[in-house]
Amino acid sequence: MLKNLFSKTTEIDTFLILDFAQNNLKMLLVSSKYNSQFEHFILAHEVVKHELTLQQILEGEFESIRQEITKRLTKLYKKSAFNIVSCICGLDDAFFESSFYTSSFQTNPTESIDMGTLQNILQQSHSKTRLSVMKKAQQKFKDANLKLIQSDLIDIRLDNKSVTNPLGLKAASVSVIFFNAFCQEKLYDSLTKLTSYIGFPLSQIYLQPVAQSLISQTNQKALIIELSHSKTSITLAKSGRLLKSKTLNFSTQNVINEYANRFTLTQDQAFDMLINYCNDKFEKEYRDIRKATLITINKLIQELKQTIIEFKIFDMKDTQIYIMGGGSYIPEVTELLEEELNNYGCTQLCTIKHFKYLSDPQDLIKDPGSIALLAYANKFLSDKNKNSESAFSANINQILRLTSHNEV
Amino acid sequence: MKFKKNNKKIKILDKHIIKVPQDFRLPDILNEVKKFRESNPNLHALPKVYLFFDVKHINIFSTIHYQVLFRSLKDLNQDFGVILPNFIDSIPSIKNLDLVYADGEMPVPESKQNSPKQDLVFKKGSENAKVQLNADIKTPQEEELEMYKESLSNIKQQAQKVLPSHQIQNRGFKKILTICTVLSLVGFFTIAAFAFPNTTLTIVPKISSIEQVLNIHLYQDKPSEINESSSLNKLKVYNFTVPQIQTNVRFVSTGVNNIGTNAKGKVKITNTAPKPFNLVPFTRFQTEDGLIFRSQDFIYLEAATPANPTFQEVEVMADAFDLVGVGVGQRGNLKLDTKLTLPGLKESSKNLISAQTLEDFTGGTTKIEKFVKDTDLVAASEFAQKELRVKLAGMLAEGLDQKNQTTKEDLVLLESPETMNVNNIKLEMDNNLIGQKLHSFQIKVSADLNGYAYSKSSVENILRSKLLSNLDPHNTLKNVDFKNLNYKVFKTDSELGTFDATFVITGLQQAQLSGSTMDVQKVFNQLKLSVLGQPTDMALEILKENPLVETAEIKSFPAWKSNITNNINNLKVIVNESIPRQS
Repeated sequence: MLKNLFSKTTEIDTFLILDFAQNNLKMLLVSSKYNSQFEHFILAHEVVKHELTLQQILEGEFESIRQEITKRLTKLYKKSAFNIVSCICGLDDAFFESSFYTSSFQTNPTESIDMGTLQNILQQSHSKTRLSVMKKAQQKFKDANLKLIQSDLIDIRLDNKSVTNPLGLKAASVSVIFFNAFCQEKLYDSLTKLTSYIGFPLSQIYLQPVAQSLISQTNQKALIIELSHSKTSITLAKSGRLLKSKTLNFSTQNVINEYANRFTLTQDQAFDMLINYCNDKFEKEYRDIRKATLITINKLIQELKQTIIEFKIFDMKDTQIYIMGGGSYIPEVTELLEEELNNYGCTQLCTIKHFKYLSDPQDLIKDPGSIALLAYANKFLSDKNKNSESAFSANINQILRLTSHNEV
Repeated sequence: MKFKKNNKKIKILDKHIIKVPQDFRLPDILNEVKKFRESNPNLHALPKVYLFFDVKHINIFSTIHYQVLFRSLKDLNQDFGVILPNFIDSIPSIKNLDLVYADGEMPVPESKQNSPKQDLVFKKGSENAKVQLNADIKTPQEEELEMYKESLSNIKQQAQKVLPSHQIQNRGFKKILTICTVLSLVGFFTIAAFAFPNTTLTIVPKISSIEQVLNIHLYQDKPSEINESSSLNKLKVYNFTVPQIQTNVRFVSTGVNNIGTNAKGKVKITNTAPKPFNLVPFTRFQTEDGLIFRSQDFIYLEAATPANPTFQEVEVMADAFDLVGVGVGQRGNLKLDTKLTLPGLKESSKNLISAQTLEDFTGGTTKIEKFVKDTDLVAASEFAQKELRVKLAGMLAEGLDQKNQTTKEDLVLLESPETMNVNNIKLEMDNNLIGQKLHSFQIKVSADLNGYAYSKSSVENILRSKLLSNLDPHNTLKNVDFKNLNYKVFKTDSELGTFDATFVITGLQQAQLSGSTMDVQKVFNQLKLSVLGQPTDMALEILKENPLVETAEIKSFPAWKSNITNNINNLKVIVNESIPRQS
């Protein structure tokens, strides 16, 4: 019914981007047309709260959420008619298991590498790396039925030197690094079911760290920290490519819990207090709240320091820090990041300006928690525009004869 | 230099102004503020400090950075204001901002003059404004202080004339003694600085990751004869069984019955057609959302005109399912004045007859009940067996842990589909489940599990020695990442109970600058020569570019020397072999 309603020929063509998080579903409508700077306009942004458990999501019990999405889209359609061309879904890293994996091969140093050798190496290493990540994913999800949702070649090294095209070169050893990600087949099926239920087939799934990596457009490394309501995710990227990622079990909920315990408040009161504190409205004695905030955020910073060691970043001088998510609006996060991480640059709050394919003329994205959604949209538009960042993986996938960039 | 606040001239003393260059970060600003406070003798009445941003600085143009600045200064109980030059167009709206403009007129509209916390707009001017801070303006307090100093010197002059001369001599002697002491100390340190200048270079040797891939032949009783050069490493594995393990699996039923009730209520049908209509029972009335309601009896609509329409009140009831087959239930509880159309009418009549609800509809409830279908039992048994295979590694590892505790061994499960088996699977579930109204039901699975294990310490020895034998020249092994050990069984001989597996191990190696066969003194001399006489910043860069150096630190005596000493004998190299801890 909706498909017919939203597919008249006269409306604006749009892309629908969905971000399925643990307690809400965020929707973004982006125009398919772009301006002279290749920026696509954001037409609408909606947040649908839900109380679905992970089990219910996996079982595809989406009736309540389907009704709400239909209601919101109908309301938007009545305001200004549109036609949805593609539907894209972003996946929070709680829903998938991913890993980087290196395979090394000995080659004859007197002979140059030809297409046949390279193909063999890539196919063997791809199969090995897939198996390795699949094993980890099976352990994480306790499920044997998995779906490969992302498989990217990250780097090829000849005698430990990175090269973009190894064909015709001579080396004694070849190392190949792959990034693979799996989700439960049940989840993939239920997401497909949800989008087809509301009338639009799912065209693409994007993973949070992969999408966020595009923020790093320069040769400088970028450490992207998303402090959300359920966890903190850290992504290390360079020139738009994902290098490392990790999730910390720390969230704004930790700050709320600290307030609730310290000031004997309910969770809702503590949440309101945090929002007010970020806006310089102090409900309790200012110094008490600041102390509680600094103590809690300091725990996050200590975990971040540990992660930086794990990421083998020995010098923060060449690393730019970006923060996003609701927690990025707590000033103490910026303060301690700049003080403790010995960062030589300034910590930047991610805003619309960091997403080069998007423009928000109506100022619809006010909620800092929605920035992750922009990352998915930006990644989709970047791939669609076939820019240089995706060219490398496209070539390699051709060599590998993989089905596509994503196997969805 | 003149300052304006709220379009009024104000005076600010030079000493109360801290200039903030573009490369200043928050800690730098705080340091300057601390210096300002230390230079002020009266800690109980600290004056307000003004931060002068002469460029678009992040600490004032990013709201979050300004909040950090504001809170950090508040922690110090330091009152502060912000000075901006007039060429800056506008700044973001920031609360609690005491804003002052330097050297210019404020073209702020009259209406905005009394609201400094709003976004302000300034006239554009030169971006290279050379700002001279006010040197001539004196506050009344300063003028009073000068008068006081002047009168004090007069008093001193009068006193010198009156006081006896030996007191003057004594005072003069003390003064000379103090000056001599100070001069001799300064002289001593100056001589020491020129006589013994030295520089210490502390270097952390280069750290790099190392990875090795090796094949290991795993055998139970005796190894196979060597016929492949790939499996020269051998390791004994142990077969073990975990008998009669039990696990429960819950399966959600897939049968669904809609047991909700249908909403009903009264509608008013309006006819504007010039002819009467007879509507049969179960005539459809449709909402904009596609929900269908049906009349229960015959309906007669009298002929009418658009000016004099006729009306008829009837009761309608919602269908159980909507057009796409989803249960209507609670959604059928329409609100008063909801418009309905009659989709069964001809196109020409559709616009002439319409309906509208006369009241809020009631009675619609959404309720489904699940029941067990015959196909569920088949699916459930397959699901249970799959679940068992998923849990297989975990359960075998648990069984092995218990075995280790009794035998005091360090056996670890060999995790591979080829080496882990499930035997004698038995499924148990309740009788007569088909058709029962259950949301989910449980299956009890029991089986014997069989697997292979290897000694953890033996594997670690093999992997460590492999890494050690493949270190880069003049490197030492600092860390082996056993936690992220990966392996894959690629060959299985079930008759002989032998396997071949590829193991991948990573570690960290560090250049060895002490106790190695390398001529360390030669390396140190090269390092020293490369930085001799260089500015410290440049020397640090040179050191970091050296292939044997990860990071470096330079300390010079005297501390004010910005260049490395020119004398190689005064250069000292210290090696710090600590590396960041790896997870």
